[in-house]
Amino acid sequence: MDSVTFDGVENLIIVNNGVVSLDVKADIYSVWKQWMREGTNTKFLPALRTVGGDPTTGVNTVAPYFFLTNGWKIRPYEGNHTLNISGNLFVDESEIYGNNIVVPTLGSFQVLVNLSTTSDATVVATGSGVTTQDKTDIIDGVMNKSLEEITESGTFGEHVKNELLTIKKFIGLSE
Amino acid sequence: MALLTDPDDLVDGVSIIIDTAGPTIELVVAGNLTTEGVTIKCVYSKLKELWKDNADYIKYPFPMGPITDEQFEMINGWDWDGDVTRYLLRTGGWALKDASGVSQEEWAGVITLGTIGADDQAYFLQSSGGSVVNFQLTGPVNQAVKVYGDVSHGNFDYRDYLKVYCRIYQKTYAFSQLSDIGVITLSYQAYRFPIANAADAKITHNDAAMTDSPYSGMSLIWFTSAQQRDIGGNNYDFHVIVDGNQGTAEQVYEFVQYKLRQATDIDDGAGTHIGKKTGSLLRFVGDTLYTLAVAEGGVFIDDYQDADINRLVFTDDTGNTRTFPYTAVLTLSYGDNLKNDADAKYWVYFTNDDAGDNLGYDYGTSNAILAWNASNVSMTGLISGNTSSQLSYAFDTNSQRGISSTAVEAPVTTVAIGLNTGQFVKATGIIARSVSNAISLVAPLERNYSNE
Repeated sequence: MDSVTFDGVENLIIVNNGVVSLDVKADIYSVWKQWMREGTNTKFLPALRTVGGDPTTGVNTVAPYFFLTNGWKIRPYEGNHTLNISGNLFVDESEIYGNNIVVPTLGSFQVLVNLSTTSDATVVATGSGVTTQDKTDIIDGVMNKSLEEITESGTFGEHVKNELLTIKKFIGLSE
Repeated sequence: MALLTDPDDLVDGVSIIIDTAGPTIELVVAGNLTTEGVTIKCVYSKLKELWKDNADYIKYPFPMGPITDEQFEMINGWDWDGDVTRYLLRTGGWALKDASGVSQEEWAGVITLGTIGADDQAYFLQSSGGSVVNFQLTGPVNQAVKVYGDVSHGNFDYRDYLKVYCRIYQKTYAFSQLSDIGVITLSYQAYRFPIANAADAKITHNDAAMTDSPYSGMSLIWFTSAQQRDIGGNNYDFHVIVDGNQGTAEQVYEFVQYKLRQATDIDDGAGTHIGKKTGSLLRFVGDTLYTLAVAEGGVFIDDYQDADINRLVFTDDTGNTRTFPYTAVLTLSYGDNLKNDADAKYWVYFTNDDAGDNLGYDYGTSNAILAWNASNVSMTGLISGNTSSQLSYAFDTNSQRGISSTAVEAPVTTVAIGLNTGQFVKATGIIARSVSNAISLVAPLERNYSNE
């Protein structure tokens, strides 16, 4: 289920009901491209363009930038909510269409829009590199650590250990 | 030595041998007689001289009776010694008569008029179900052909059928038949057929190339029932269909001409048509390719290149020529980012309808008009790894923008979009009355599409 619906007549990217979080790349730009391929949706002026994404070194790429073109805007769904948009999204020809990427809802609703942008290079390596076995080992390393091994002063482990011993004393389970 | 016409060039016992016992007359390639041969009139004249001067020959009945100087009769039991002799006789025909004056054999002299190359091999056909036979010599023809034999001399009668062909690679094909010279039934005389060929500049690929694309995908089919084809909105009947396999008009012509030189069945359908004796199907006049009416009906070319549509003239079953309304061609060229994108598609919209109804049905609106090709199919499709697409446009008849927009240049906006490698791209252009309209679609490389 896509997060947005495109209205080529009104040049609107309408956020679907209940959607409060949008990733510009995945939820808007990529979905728009798929929508354009359907039927004769290409008869409408394009909604977006993009730059960036070029590889730099290793797994890094230049941060992608997206531009709303030809007057296309985003309209949040009809309801009070906060819409979080992540990605570098701007308006093309802002002198004509204004700087706002969002237009008001049709009804009287209070919508806060948080736009998270970055100019940092993006790491595009897929996955964290942590395997399932790594996670198991980490859990085992924490849960199976003996209290005697926790000796370093000021650590979280030492704090938990001391608190547990205090509780045990308090309830009379040990010395 | 050229063709002999002077009896003095024939020497008794050397180049002409009289066998009174046979009784036969033999011609031998010797002395002044070469394979160029001797006119039958010259032989007749030589026989007269020999009969007059030779004490032995005069004892025997004279061998020949003249009807004209190109028509003779072998009489009094005389005959030629054999076919070697018969094929040295030029410019005339003869009949072999029995004692009652009835023909046992009849030979017609076949002479070709016009220029054909010295090495060009002409051939003839004496019945529709028969096989073609090469003339004895290459080059212009002057040879006797046996057209009748009674039950004891071959038992056939081909006097009402003779077709002469000359089909040579990279030359125009020559053909002539009895009706071309106003003859219904052959007699034993000389006949002159107009046969001439010349260099054919449209043939540029040799026979070996016929196994390669696009020729390898072409075909020829003779249908027993009429095949309808839509030309300019009207259906016309054809009985012979050439599948052009997207070859150019020249390539289609090359393919068909190649087929017509084959001694095998060239009908890719259920029927049988031997190439060498099948009538011509196509002809170029300048750069325009005409299909010809054949015995079975009209000839149509399927799967031709859109770019050629304005230089194709089809002859239908009624013998009338049919042409498409002018069809312009728009060539879309794609950059690598679209070519390499399996999802990439293109669309061709009219930029506006100003030249027609001017209803504001412009590109960029919900009423934008997706243009149709000449077959009334929308101009859109997958790019499918191609570097270009050729799109036809019915320049004279397309009225999508309104009736007044026909035969008027069409402004178009072409868009394309891929997914993984091709970004959106748009380019404008004009479809003019031309087959050279071109628009390039070069999309930026896509780096930011995600389908996770």
